[in-house]
Amino acid sequence: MKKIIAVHSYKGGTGKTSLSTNLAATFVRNGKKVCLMDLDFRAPSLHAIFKKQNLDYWLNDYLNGVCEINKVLIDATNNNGNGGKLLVGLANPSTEAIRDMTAKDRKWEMKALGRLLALRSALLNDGNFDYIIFDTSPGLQYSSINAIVAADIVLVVTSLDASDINGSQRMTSELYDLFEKKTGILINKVIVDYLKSKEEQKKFTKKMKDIHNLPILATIPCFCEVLRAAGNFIFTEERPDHPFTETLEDLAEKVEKF
Amino acid sequence: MGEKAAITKSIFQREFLSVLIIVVNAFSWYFPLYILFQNALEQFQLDSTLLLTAFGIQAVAAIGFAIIGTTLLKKFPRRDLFLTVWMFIGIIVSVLLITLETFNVAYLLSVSFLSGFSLGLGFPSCLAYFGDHTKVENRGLLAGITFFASGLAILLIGLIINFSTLVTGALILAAWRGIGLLLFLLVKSKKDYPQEKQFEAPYKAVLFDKSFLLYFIPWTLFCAVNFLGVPIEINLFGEELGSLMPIGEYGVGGFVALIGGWFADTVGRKRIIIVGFVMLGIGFAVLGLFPGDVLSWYLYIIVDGIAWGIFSLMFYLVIWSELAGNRTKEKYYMLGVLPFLTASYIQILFTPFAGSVEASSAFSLASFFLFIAVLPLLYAPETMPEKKIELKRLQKFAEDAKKAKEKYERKMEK
Ligand SMILES: Nc1ncnc2c1ncn2[C@@H]1O[C@H](COP(=O)(O)OP(=O)(O)OP(=O)(O)O)[C@@H](O)[C@H]1O
Ligand SMILES: [Mg+2]
Repeated sequence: MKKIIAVHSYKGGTGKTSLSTNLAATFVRNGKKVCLMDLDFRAPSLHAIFKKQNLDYWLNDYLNGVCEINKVLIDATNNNGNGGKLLVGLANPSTEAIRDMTAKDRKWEMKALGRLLALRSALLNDGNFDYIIFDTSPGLQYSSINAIVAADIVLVVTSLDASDINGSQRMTSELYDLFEKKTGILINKVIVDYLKSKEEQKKFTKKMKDIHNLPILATIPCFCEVLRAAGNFIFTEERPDHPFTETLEDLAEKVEKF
Repeated sequence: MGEKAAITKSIFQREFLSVLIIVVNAFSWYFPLYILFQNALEQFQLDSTLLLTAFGIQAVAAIGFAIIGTTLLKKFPRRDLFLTVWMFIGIIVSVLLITLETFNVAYLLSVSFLSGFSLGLGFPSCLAYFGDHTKVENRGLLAGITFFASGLAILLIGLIINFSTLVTGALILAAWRGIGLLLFLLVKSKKDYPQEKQFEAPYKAVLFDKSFLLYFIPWTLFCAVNFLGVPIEINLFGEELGSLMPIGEYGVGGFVALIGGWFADTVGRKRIIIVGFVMLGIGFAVLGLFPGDVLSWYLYIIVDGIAWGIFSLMFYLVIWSELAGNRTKEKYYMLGVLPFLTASYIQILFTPFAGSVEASSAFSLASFFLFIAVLPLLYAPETMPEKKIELKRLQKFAEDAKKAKEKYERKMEK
């Protein structure tokens, strides 16, 4: 099944970018064709991971109606022989572009939604992609609403921080429920102590499921190595046998079946 | 839960039901009672001194006991107990109206006094009850529903009263007040107002509160202009069209209150109040320019209805409770309804002189005053938190976005 996935969270810095990038890379390793898009126009970050600076066209231009999507997408496939493919659409990180995007009004955002919706037929149907993954801005904002509306699946990243849990619950009642979308929770940066045994892991997941009232698709421990990657490379590509990579493979499988 | 579901839930809550009952019953009991009282006085054909004394006593008693009520409340362990006593007094006073069957000055003045007393005593508390049992997110809409329902009930009870004799009218009002009390006791919210969390502000502090004044002054100006305007308008329009005005106010106003309440929750209180003032300012300006044109009269009646809908909603029910913040709400509501209580008496005083005023210049002056009234409002704080307005805007966008997507998908299927 071809799907559009929006990765969202209430607070910033929960790991949306890390998880969407690594989830995309995991899909690609499994032979999927994936398109990863940076819809966090207020704080673009994928350009840093994929080391692109001066592009002619950005996703901003696509949403503005200046160009078509094929002008924006960059092939970032890391030579693997199993037919997987990774294309990325980047958000313009220049100060002017960020200012321009924060000043957009509701009318523009409505048009932008039309452009996002058009991606389905352009990429999933005609372009033969298996997944489009949207990395979004945190919190309730026009651009993240658009991403969620256009998506089939919403992955909500939350830490164990009390304010984050609270905020995510509020987002569920204020936003996710409205769309009646498949919504799953990714609990990130979990202290390893909570997950020592399978038993404890189960108990923890059950507790989280009750709190959020939504399926928990992954509990991802906090790894210093991931932190050390510092958004410079795609962790699961460099460290295929790390437990973080394993967790993401598990997640990819669940998302596929979700 | 989407926004709509949240709204539906808040409307069908027991807590709101108790608010609805007490406020609707208060309005739809007192206004008809006032009409009945007025009709009774008319039949005696009193000289103007006695008439003015009777209405004067009523107004002074209403205001005086409203002030006393805000203090007396503290002697009661719970606010709803105080309100129960107040409503019970209303039943008795309604029955006492029967004494106006035959002319007797002592009875007449006593009933004037008692009717004012039976409204004033609990009125601020009744409105404060609304404030304490609604939340800022949908207070506007709930106030709109309350006002709309009050309008309907006033119309219904008013009609019945109009077609009944003094004795039956008085008994019907007593029964209506009694039904209100019974229903209130049945569904009243278990929660009392958060007495421990609220502190008592002296009247002086309220009156010198800048935010309060920035809303209070425009409201006072509106009341003055509006009530002084009524006799002139009736003179100009003639009795027939003039008598349509209250229907415009309650009919148009009722519907506007519903929509206006929703808007007040979406775009904020201040914006919607300013819209009301601008509307009315334009209405008076048109009257001033074309005082002889029937079209401008109709336009005025509609615009006046719109303004009334917005103002009664905001200035009876919504704004004072929000300005009060964590202070006890009674005094804010007391001062808030003061311009209204005073102005209606001033209207009676002014009526004999209305004939000698030149309509065109009076309306131009009124229009000017209303534009002046808007000035403080421009500096007034928005009482609905900016964040909540933004949240509503985004939720609305989310709903529209969802619809846009569904539409897009249907188009793609074809
Ligand atoms: N499981 C993890 N263990 C350790 N560090 C993590 C983990 N997940 C994410 N991080 C780190 O947390 C930081 C924030 O992550 P990331 O940039 O992905 O968050 P984000 O939600 O995209 O933030 P923003 O809201 O600013 O876009 C990064 O330094 C990242 O390396
Ligand atoms: Mg990010």
